[in-house]
Amino acid sequence: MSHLLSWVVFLPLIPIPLLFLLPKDKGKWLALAVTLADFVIGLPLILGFDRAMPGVSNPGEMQFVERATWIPSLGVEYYIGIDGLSVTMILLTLLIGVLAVLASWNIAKHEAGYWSMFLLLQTAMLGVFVSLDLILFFVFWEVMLFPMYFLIGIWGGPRRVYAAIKFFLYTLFGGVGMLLAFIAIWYYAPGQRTWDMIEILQRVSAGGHFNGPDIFGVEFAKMIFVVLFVGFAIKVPIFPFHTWLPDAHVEAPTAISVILAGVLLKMGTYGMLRINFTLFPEAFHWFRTFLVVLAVINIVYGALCALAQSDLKKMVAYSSVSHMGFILLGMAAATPQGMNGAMLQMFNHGTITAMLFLLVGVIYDRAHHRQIDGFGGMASVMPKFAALTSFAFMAAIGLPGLSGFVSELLILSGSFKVYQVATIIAGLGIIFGAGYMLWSYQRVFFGKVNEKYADFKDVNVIEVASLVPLLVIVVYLGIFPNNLIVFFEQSMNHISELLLAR
Amino acid sequence: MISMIPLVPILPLVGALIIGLFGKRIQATIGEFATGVLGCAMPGLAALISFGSFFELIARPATDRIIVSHLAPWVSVADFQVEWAFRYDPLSAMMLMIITGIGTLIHVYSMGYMHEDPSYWRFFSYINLFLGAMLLLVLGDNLLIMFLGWEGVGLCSYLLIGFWFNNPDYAYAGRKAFIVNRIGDLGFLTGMFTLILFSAANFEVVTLSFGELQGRMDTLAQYTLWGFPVLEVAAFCFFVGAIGKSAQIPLYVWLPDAMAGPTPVSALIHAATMVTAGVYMIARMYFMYSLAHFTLEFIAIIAALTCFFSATIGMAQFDIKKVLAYSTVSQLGYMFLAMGVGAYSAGTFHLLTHAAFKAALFMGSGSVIIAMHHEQDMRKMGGLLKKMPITGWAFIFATLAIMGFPGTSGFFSKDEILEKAFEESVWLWLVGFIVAGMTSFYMWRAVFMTFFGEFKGDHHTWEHCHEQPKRTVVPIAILAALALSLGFLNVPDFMGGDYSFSRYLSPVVKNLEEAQVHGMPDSIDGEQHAPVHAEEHGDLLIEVGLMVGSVTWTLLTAFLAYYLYLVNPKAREALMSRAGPQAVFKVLNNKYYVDEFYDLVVVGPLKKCYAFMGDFDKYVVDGAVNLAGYVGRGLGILAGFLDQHIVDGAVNEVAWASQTTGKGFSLLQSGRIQALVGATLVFFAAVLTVWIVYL
Repeated sequence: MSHLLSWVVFLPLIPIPLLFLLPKDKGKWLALAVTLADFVIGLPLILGFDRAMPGVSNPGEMQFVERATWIPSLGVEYYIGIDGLSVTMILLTLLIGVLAVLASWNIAKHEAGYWSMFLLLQTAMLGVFVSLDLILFFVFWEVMLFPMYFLIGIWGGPRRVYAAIKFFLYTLFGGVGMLLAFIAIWYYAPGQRTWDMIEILQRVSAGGHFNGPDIFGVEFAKMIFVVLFVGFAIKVPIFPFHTWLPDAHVEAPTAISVILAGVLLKMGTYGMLRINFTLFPEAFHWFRTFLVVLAVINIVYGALCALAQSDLKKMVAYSSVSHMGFILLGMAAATPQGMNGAMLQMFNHGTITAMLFLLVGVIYDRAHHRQIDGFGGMASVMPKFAALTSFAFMAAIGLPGLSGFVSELLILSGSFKVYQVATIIAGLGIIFGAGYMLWSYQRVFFGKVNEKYADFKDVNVIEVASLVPLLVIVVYLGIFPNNLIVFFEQSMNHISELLLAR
Repeated sequence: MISMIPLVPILPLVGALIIGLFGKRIQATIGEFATGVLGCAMPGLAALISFGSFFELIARPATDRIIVSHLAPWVSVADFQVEWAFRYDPLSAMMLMIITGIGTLIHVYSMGYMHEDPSYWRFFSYINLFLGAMLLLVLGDNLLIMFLGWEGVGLCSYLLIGFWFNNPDYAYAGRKAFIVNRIGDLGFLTGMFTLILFSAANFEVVTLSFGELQGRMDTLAQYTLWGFPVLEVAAFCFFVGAIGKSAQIPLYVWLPDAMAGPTPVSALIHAATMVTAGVYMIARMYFMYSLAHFTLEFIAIIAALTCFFSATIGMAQFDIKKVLAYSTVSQLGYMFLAMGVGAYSAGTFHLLTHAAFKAALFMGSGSVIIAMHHEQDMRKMGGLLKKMPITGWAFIFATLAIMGFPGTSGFFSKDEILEKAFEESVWLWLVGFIVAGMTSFYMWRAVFMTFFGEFKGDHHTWEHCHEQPKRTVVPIAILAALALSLGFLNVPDFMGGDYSFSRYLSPVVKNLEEAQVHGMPDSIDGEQHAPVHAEEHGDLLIEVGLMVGSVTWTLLTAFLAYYLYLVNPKAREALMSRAGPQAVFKVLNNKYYVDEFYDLVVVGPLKKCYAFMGDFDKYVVDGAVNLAGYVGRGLGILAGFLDQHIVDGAVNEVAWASQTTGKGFSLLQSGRIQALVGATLVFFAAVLTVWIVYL
């Protein structure tokens, strides 16, 4: 099939009109069918992907490329294609999409609106991961905000409006800077002006330089680097830009939290790899030590904040802050292990955190609150739920044999080669991680049974169906991580070379 | 049989999976007994393979006793290429037999011990999982698989300590064990990273396999990290891991609390196998430790301190399992003392004998506890030998072994450690010697309080107290017999033996002195480098003198226990009523207040720290964000020409509880859903148009 990639990206949009014709409660079936179909037509992308081609800075090595003029007067193109970096994220997005539909099975408010926003979000996220044109990337990036804003603001919890606006404004703030930076990149690109990020990267890696002027007394490259970094860092999120995340998570409905943590956060680190770091390798080196500091702060500070939370979902949200710090650490180290570990962590964090949010949703659906101290002895009441949760918590703690361990190991061993002390401090995050996970687990599941909740039903079929695929993936990638690593290893090694060559 | 070695860890793991998934149903439909048999089946099979392979192994020539099976790649990124591979050699063969042998016995014992527990199936699932993890730990051919097992056993320990999780104290003890172990694990990881760093810098590929590491030691020895030799740093870091896992000072605090778990768990995990993982790890990487003299000395000192302090605490406990727990910490100290003076085979041998006698002691105590209706306080026991002769005698034989009574297993293993310590330093020996007497004292104290004298509990318990069924006592009896006899595996030459155990290990574990004599460390050439013995260095007279000395000393303290607890309790009471001894006793009984100390200097400040961070995040970092919102709002009002919506947005952001928010968004939620839908449709149509046009 030609235009396969476009089909994968835009398929979720096609049934949106249908949603408004169908009876209300059929929307979820349609959404399930569409996300599943998207997954299925996405499979040829993944199976047909040539793993030997690094892509990244070689236009000829981008795969499933589609290219057409979009806005001729500005030279903007509809230019999409994938390499090892994108294919992993596409797989994750397609997978999380299906499971998030299952997690929204109980949505009973403006269903048609919900599902149309949901599917639009899916397209926007996929679009970000395939765009090779700066403006196209930016459009998808901003389009993603729009459904997300409504999904939190309408279907969220009690403080949903505050959370939605905070999320929107914060990301928009980063986005405005990003747009200005993109324009600057286009304007001062080495050689001919172009929005083609792969082309520019090729020129940069061939020794080309941005010939822009100093901005506010700061070198052009450094300034643009920092502006871009802030834009992406907000999304990751990186300290001190992270406070929208706990609010957004706490207010968002379960499925949206799953997507937010599972996929959206990775758009930040993806952007850093694709645009921010690689286009400005010198600025990256200038900024590198600070990146490591930020990464370590994220890891340790996030873990400490997680310890302080009394709301289960907020605890998981802060654990995301901590785990995303590992990704930044691996990328800052830029060694092959660090880079591959970061990419693997992007995928693993997606699956593991999705599990965590799904599980929090299970208990919230029943108790209508998430106070860690408000439960007790739930392991006796809901044994299957307790077993699944302990599995997910252990995966989040990084237990060897499960997927999270492999990525954290690669990141830490990769960063130890460059920053020994920082790595050891980051290791403290692992200890604190065990602390907050086990402590909250103990308070919810162990001890005397809370009589109020003694009649809770254990997990149902839909909930199990959304959790088991993730469980299988987490185990499988813990034992055979290579089967995923091969997809991006060439790309990540190439990025590592690009960054360390300077 | 040797070709079936990879099945050894896999079988119990499969067992854990089957019981974990279907155990509840099996227990409900077929019955408890079937669940138990299923639980014992996989460990039993694993034991068969282990013992069968062992006999094949010793039939091979000594130079051909390392069998590595490569199964599949695990993690491969650039030069980092770690595989799934198992290493079967004399050291892991021995560990395999300890783990599967004692493991199977304890599984059988548990069928009786866990009888009528509603979560019977869960117990067998966990303990199968434990066996699988422990077997991975010892069979792993590289550090990463060892670490997998290392953390895996920690997980099972956590699950099993908190097995009766409705009791918050037990759940707490499990968590404490896991987190304290994690602190050690960070050391293990750092050690591993150090080796990776310098290995990758000098060689093309890093597989972390033990064979590869051994060959690279000479290269790595030339480098320094943070001003210290790399191997010292790495060895030290790995030892930090061992401190956690094997409960040495200062991380030993989790082990006594771990006794909250069911007693078979204490016997298997917290005495015979998991806690000895640190000792095993040093034996496995003896080639690195032999080049890290500073770390070795450090290990010896830590070990001596641990050995001494935990023995003193053990003398002042009343809970029978706590006595055994501190005794375990103390005996682990002996093992590390041997490792620290470079007598790796002696330490490993003590690991073996200790596994037998300590498992017997724990299982005996478990039998008593069940008979006493879950009473663990020895002050409420007494005279139980009459009621429970098999348990009682097995306990007494195991006590003979731990005190080092001539001819028993503990005699040979402890004596060798003391002798090697003496060669290294008189002070280390002296500590070990004193502790030997204390060990004898507290163990006989436990025996006399439990099995002799008058029964001190209530009448009802005494009436119902009886010997346990066969499936409980037979495993105890077998282990007690082993505790008495295993010592003959390593009879020293001056007593007519030939150190057969050390000789057996020597192809893979060479003691420090041999290594120094024969040069390091690449050759794996077995018997021509048979152990070098004391005759070549020291004096036969000293050896015999040391031996006679410690035997006399342990007999004396045993007699003291006999006198104070059986013959003349009045004398003891008189002594204890004085202020001085009472104060000492109180300190010991409260374990030197170490837990309280940690609460004060670590846990307390940490709690304050994270509470502060939580508030900092909420009020300072997020406060700044909200302040930005306020400023935006203020500017908006002042300037008045800013776009209404942006201002509105800023207002909303700031005043999260205000009516402004409600007003702004009630529009959206009520009437304007159509607008939203419309917007979506417009966007959709636009995209579709563009798409159709150019496709």
